[in-house]
Amino acid sequence: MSQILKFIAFRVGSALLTLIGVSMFIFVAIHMLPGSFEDVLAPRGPEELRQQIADKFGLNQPLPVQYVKWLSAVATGDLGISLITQDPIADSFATRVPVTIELAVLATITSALIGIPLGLWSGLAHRRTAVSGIARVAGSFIMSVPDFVIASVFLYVFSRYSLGLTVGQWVPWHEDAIGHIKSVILPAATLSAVGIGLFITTTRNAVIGVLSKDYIMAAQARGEEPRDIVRGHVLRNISNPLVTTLSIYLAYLIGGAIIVEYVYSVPGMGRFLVQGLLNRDYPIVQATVLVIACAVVLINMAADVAYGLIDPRLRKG
Amino acid sequence: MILQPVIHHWRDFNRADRLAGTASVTMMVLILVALLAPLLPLDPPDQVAAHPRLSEPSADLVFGSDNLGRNMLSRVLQGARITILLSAIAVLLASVAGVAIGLIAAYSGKALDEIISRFSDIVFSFPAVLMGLLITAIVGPGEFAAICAIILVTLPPIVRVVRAAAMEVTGTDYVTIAWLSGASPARLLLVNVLPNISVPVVTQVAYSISIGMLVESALSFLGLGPQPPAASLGSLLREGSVYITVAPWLVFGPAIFLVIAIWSTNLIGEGLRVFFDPVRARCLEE
Amino acid sequence: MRDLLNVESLTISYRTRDHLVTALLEVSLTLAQGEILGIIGESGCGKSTFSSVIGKLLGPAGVVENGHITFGGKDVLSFSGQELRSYRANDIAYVFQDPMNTLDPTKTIGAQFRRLISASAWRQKAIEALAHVGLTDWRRVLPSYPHQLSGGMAQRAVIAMALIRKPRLLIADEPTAALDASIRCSVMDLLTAWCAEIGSAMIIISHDIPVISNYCDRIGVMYAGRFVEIAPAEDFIVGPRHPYAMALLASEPGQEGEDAVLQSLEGSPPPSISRAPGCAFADRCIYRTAPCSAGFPPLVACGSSKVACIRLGDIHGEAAS
Repeated sequence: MSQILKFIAFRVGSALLTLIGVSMFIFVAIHMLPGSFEDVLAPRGPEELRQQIADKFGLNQPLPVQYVKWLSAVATGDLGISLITQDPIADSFATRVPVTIELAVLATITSALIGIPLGLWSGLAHRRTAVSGIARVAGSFIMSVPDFVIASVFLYVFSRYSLGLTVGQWVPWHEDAIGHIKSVILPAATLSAVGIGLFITTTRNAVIGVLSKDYIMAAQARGEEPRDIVRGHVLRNISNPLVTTLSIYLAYLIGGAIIVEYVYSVPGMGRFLVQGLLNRDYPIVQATVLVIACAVVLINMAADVAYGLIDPRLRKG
Repeated sequence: MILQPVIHHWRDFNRADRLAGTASVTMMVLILVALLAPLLPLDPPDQVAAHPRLSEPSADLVFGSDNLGRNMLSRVLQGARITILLSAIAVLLASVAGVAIGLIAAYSGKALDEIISRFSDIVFSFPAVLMGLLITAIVGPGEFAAICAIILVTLPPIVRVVRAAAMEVTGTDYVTIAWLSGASPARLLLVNVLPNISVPVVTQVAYSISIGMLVESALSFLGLGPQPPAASLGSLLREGSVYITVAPWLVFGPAIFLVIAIWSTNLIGEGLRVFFDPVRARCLEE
Repeated sequence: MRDLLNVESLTISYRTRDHLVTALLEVSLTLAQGEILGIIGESGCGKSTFSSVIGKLLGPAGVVENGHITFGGKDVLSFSGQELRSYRANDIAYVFQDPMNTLDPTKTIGAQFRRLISASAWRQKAIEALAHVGLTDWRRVLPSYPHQLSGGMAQRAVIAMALIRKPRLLIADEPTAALDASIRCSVMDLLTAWCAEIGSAMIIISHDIPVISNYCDRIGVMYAGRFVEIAPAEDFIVGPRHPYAMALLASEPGQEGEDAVLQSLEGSPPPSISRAPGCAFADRCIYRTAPCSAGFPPLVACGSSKVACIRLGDIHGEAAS
């Protein structure tokens, strides 16, 4: 038991280090952006006003001091304020994070429920080439269609033929529950399609990899039922590649759903970031990128811990 | 004559995985057509009013014409050239850098190794499109931003693969023997290590090219890739999506080309993986 | 003794993408109950194919072209489904070369025993079985994962798992090849002792001639998909009859006489097994004559042995003179 705890502690510590690195990376990147706060707030303002702005945001302090101040503010939940609207960014997050998470949860559940069984079935049936070949072709094809192409096809079909779904407009849940569902389906389906291709392909490859292992032959030689071999040996041993896939997919959903949010006008994190960039609203960019990257670090940490729990050989620090 | 061994190897590859064999030929054709487009008897891609505006696809106008009457087939081929070239250049740079950094990580002691893997972890924490957005924000939209973004996104996995493969090779007897027999480090690297890590690296590079095309077209779709009049497949999709309900062919032309290119590359990557490391999976039902 | 296993003119091939590759050619053999048969031969001679076909474990590429296998009077190759599984579970058991690959890396040894014995008394039975193979420290072994055990301990656990259900035939495919030389003998000792105790017959496949000669009743030599000699162990050790067997034995350190030099066997087995008529070993054989490539040499009785060589009389006549 203590070995597992030690392993988890090591992973958490390692993730903390990465988090610090990520925050520095973002801080440096934001400072490399062309233009400054003054340019945005008072493009042609008098020197005095520009000075005030610089003082207000602490822009005259040395960079390390600015970094530490930013980080300690973030640690207390203060993500800064938007340059344009002067609203606290944390407040905007309160409405935007749930939107992104809702889509991510819907897409993950849908694509895992469809993709993993299909991949499992295709991998187990890989010798009956017709069945498995179709699944392989379909999986690799879906995986190769960029999300904005899927979105464009959906946009075309659903705006050309009125099929009852809302296209390109987001209806919040509290305004109209039915309308909300209608507006959620297309973005969620687009994100799910990407995931279904990913899950079919990786599950199938993982199953075929496990079926080539000697311990599967040994289990057959002991007369175990195919059903028991699948449940007892295959599922457990394909879990690690599946965790990898899941973590890559979640990272995509949290940060990479940018395009899907953009196409369907979904007011989530991705769109917030794109708007921030277009408006040169640096605090928004900084906060959004930080939150997304931190989420990805945590997802990867959870994946690393899961690897160790699934496969005892990976429990070393 | 020179092609003979290539064809010979391709036959083996095709026999091992017909889908990947077909994909490799498809990709070759796509690349040739895109590169040789200026020599083909087609309207120049920037010739406006060459045809009636927004003509539907027909026998002599395969992908139709756009809102300025330009031939979409010419535009798609030109866009494909930009998309393929940008990702190829970026992945080439990423591979050279990735092999160098991976070898340094594998052989330069624990401290440097730790720094490099920490740094790849950090870069890896930014999803591809997010990284692309950040970079375009810093260097401004255009080809350079796209190349930088592709390099940063594809580099960490290449470094990891190289590092792992190099460490594994070092443990083998033939490297030990070469080392004991007094081979210089440079010779050891060139003769013993590089050829033996090439398989996983080549596979990873194939996947990287498909990721590169994906990132490039995504950035262009957001209007952050090559700027007009240059147009990659992603920017064509962006322009076309405005007319999606009246002229869907503006989207479908570039989309078909892009999807076939990415799909072929993925299949080639998978084919290479299976070709070099075939598995004999058992059948559970008997 | 009644025959336990009867293999009759068995020909096996593997399907590749464009043709069939022969692995076993017209192989016949009988095994009595409780008998220990050792099979030797260079890699690629069909030893592993022979051992896996007995459990019908050829895998999807294997094709039985011809022949029969009967086990206790039943036709093994016709088994399928429940019948096949119960045959594998109760009648035979396997021990493979590398215990680390044959144990599921994600399960403790205890959990893997538990999959074998459904009874509630599985723990007690597992502890007894482990004690049988010299693993008395079950408190440590049962909750361990395979990678936490040494190769020798893991192979002992595998043997315990193989014999716990008291099979009538144990097939051990290079059971000691992955182990340290120092523990090979003790592993072989406990394997044969336990088999003798439960009356199980055994087929041991090995490269290791001393192992084979010390523990087996009979020895079969395979070359290019066929048995070229089958002989009682005591006769084989003093005088192998087939030129290939002689060459194999002569290349074994410790087998040469006091003033003899260690000989090496030139060349290597044919890359693919040819069905062309003639002795497959002829190319490498120092006694080769023209008739050797004319037809298949059949296995013929020669004293207590069976040997497939048409020049048997000449060779051993010369040796005697």
